[in-house]
Amino acid sequence: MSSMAKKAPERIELLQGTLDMLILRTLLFGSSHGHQIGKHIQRTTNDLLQVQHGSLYPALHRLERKGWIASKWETAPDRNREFKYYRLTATGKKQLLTEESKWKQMASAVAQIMWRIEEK
Amino acid sequence: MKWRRKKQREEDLERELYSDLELEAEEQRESGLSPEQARYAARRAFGNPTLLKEEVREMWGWAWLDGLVRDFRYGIRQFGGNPGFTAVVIATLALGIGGNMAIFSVFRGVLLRSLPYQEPDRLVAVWQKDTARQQRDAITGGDYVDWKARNHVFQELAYSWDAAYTLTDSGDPQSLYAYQFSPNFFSLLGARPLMGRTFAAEDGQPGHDHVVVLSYRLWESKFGGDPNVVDRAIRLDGSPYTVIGVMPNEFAHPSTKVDLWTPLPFPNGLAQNRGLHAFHVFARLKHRVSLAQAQNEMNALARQSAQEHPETNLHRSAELELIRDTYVANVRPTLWVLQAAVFFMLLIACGNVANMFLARASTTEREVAVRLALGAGRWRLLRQYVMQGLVLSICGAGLGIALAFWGVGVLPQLFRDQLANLPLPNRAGAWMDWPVLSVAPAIAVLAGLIFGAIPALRSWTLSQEVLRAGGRGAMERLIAVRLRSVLIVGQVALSFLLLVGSGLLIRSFLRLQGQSLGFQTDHVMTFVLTFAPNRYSGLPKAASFLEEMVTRIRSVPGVESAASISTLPLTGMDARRPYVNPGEPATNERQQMVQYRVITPDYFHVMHIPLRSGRFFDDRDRQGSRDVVIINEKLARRLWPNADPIGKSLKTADLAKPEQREIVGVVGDVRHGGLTSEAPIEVYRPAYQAFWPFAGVVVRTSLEPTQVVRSIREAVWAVDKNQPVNDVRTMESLAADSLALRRASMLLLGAFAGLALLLASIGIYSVISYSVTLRTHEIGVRLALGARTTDVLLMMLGQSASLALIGIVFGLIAARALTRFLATLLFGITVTDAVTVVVAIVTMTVVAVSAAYFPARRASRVDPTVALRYE
Repeated sequence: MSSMAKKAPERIELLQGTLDMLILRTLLFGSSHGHQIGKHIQRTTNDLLQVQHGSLYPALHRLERKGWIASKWETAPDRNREFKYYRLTATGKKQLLTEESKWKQMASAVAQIMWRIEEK
Repeated sequence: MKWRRKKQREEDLERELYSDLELEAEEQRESGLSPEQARYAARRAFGNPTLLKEEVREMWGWAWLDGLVRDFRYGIRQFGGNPGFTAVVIATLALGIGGNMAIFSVFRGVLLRSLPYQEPDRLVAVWQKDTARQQRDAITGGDYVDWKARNHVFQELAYSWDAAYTLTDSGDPQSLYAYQFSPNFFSLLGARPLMGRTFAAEDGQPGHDHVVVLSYRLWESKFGGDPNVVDRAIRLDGSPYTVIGVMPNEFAHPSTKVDLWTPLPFPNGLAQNRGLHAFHVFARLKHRVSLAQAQNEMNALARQSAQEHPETNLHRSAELELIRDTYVANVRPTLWVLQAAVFFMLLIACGNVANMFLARASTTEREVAVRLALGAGRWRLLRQYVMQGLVLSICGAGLGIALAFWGVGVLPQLFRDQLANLPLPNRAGAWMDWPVLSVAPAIAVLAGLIFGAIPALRSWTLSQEVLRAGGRGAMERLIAVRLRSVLIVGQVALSFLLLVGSGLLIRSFLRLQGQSLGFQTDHVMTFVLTFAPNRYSGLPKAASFLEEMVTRIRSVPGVESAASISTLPLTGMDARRPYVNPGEPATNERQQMVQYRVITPDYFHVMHIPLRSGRFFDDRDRQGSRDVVIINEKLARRLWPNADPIGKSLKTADLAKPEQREIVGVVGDVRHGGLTSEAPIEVYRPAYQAFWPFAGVVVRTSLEPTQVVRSIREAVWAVDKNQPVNDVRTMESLAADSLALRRASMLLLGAFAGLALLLASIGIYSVISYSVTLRTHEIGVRLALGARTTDVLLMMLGQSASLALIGIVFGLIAARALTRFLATLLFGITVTDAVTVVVAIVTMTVVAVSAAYFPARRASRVDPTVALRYE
C-alpha cells in the first residue's frame, strides 16, 4: 500500500508486524513521540530501515488501540512545545517479550533455510 | 457522546501530525536548510497528510463504514451533477429489474405455486384421447370401471363431473356452479377442509348424498363467513341439503369458479356406457411408479379396450396429465416466453449500463491516473467506484420494485380468464413475497458491483502513461471500443431475437383477426339461464318459458331481436351428440359426434349467421309437429358433397336415442370455440321441440348493449321471478377474452422488443459518438487529404451497420434455436416465417443506422484544421 516505486536497493522493506515490535522495543527505553520513534528506528539500524510516516502513525494508533502503548501530551524538555508522547504499558511489555521470542524463532528458521541455499 | 469523542480524536491526530511535522522542519532547518526548503523537505518526508490521516483513521475501526458513507454521498453528489446519465441509467435498470420482478412474480405465482394437496406430483388427470380428432375427452363410465379394476399403477381413482344448482335459501335465487365428486375425491387429493369435514364413503350412498361442501368464496359471500355454518340446512333446487364443511381459500378444484361440491354416487346406468364421455377422472400414482410407467400401462389398457369394444374405443387412447398441468398448461408457454423475453431485456439493459459506465470511465481515466499518482490506494478507488455503481443500481432497483408492484396489479388482469383455474392472490403484496422481492436487491448489488468496478478495473491496467502522454492512452481506448462493440453486438442480437419473437406473435394475431367467427359480435348482449330440474323438468315448461321470455325481451326499448341457444359460442362450452352417417351401413356404424345446439327460431337472425339453403326454424316447429333439424355447411358438404340436403333425413340424438329427422335448412359455419378453433360440424334443433337443461340468451340491441341490461333482467323476472340470470356479458367481451392471452402476450412481447430496440439504439449512439471523438484526428486527416463529407458519413454509418449485421447474424442463430418454443403460440404461420424475419432484419438495420446518424454527421462536419490542432 505504501511502497513507493523508487526505493534505494539497500533499504529493507519492513515485514508485516516487524514495525510493531520495533516501536515497542524503542519505547522500552522510555516514552517518546512519533517523530523520535521514527528517527530512533532509523538511527539504531544504521539507516538500513527507514520508517515511512504513512506506516508509523497508523501503527502507533493501532498499538494504542490494542492497549500495548498509551499516550499523553507533554512538553518536550528542549523545545518548549507539547508533543504526543507514547509509553509502553504493562501488557505492551509482555507483548514485546512474546514478539521477540517469536521473532527469534523465525529469524533462526529463516537463517537455517538461507544457509542451506548458500551451501548448495 | 461518541461523536464528541470522535471529533476530539480527529483534533488530536491533526495536532500530533502537525507538531511532528513542525519538528521535522525545525530539525531540517537546524541541519542548515533554508526555512522554505526545510518545510518542503519535511512535507516530502511525511507524504500525503490527508492519506496519512485516512490510514490512521482506518486503524480506529468503523472507519471503513465512515468511508462507505462518504463514498456513497460522493456518489450521489457526482450523479446529481450529471442528471442525464443518471436518469438514463436508473430508468434502464428500473425497467430491467421491474419488468423481471413483475413477470417473475406472476411466473412463480402461477407455475410454481404450491398446491394444497398431498404430494401433488403424484396426482394425475386421466383423459381419453380421440386420436382421429386429436382431442381430449372425459372418460366413459364403462372405461372407468374397466380401468379402475385392471390397472396396477394407481393407488386410487376418483371421478367427478360438473353440475349446476339454484340456491333458493334466502334472498334472490342464485345459480351455483358446482362439481360433483366421488366420495373419495377429497381424500385422493389429500385436501383438508377449513372447517367441518369432506366426503366420506357413506356420502356416496344414494339417499345420503344430500350433503355439500362450500367453497371459501361462497361461504364468505353467501353465508357471511358464518363460523357455525356446518350442519346448517340449505335448499338446492328446492331439495334440502346439509352443509358438512368449508374448503380453504386456496382450494379450487377444478377451477375458482366452483361454488360448492356435492357427492356423486356412481351412476350405475353408466357402468356399461362407452359413448358418453362423462367423468373427469383423477388418480394417485402408487409409490415408486413414474408417470411414464403409468402412461405405458394406460396405453396397454386402452389397446385392450379397443380390442374389446372396437365400435367405440378403436380410435381412443388414454392420456395422463399431472394435476398441476390441468390448471396451468394453457398459460405455461406464454409465461415461459414472457419470462425469457424480459430476462433478455434485463441483459440488454445491463449491457447498456455497462456501456455507459465504460464511456464514463474513459472520461474519468485522467482523474483516476492523477489520483493514483498522488498515492490513492487502488482498493480505495475501487471501493469508491463500486459505491457509485451501487448508488445507481439501488435507485434503479427501488424504482424497479415500484414498477413491479404496479405490474403485478395489471399483468394477471390481462389474461384473467386463462388464469381462472388457480386461486391467485388479488393483492400485489401477495404476489411480491420475499423470494420475488429478494430478486431486486440481488440484481441491484450484482449490477452495482460490476458496473462500479468497470472504471476502477480499467484504472488497474492504466499506467501513468495516461498522464505523461497528455491524456492519450490510445491502445487502452481501442480496447475499450472493442469491448463496447462486443456489448453492442450482444444487445443487437438479443433485440433482434425479441423483434422476431414479437413479430411472429403480431403476425399471428393479425391473421387471427383476419379470420371470421361466422357471426357478428357487436351489439349483442348475452347471459346464461339454468333450468332448475324441479321447476323446469322437461320440454313443455322450458319451451313456454323461453318463448315468453324472448317475446318480452324483444319488446324492451333498444332491443332488436332475442333468441336462446343451448351453449353460447366463445364460452368454452359445447355439447356433442352422436349422429349416424346415412352413407354407412347401420350395423358396424362407428359412433360419430356432432356439435349439438338447441335454439329458438330467431337465433340466426340475432347472430347474423347466413342461410345457405332451405329455411330457418319458425313457430311451426314445435312439439308434436314434424321433427326437423338444420345443419351447417361443413356437415352438409361432408354428408352430401354433390346433392342438396334439404328434405333428406339425418339420424341424430337429443338427450335420448338417435332418431330420424328431416333437414329443413343449411346455415353458415361458425367458429364456436373462438378464432383459433376450426369450425365444427353442427346440427341445430328447435328449442320448442327439444329440451336442454340450460340456455344462453343472445340479444341484439340498437343501443349500447350495456344500457339495456337492467330492462332485460326485468323482462326475465317478469316471466319467472325465481329465475337467476347469470354471466351477463357482451358478445364482444367474450370474443376479446377468448383472445386475451394472445393479445396480452403480443403486447408485452412487443413492448419488450420496443424497449430492447430503444436500449440498443442508445448503446449504438453512445459507442459511435465515442468512436467519433477518438477518431477526430484521423477524420481530420482524411478530410484534409480530400475525403468528401459523405465518405466520412458513410464510413461511420458503416461501422454501425456492420456491428448491427454481426449482431443480426447471432440473433438469427439464436432465433432459430429459440423461436420453436413460440410454436404453440402461433397461428397460421410457422416459426420460420420469412416476412417476420425480413421485417426484423430491416427494422434492426434501420434502427442501428439511424442511431449512428447524428454522431456520424458530427464526424462528417469535423473542421480539418481544428481536428489536426486537436491534439
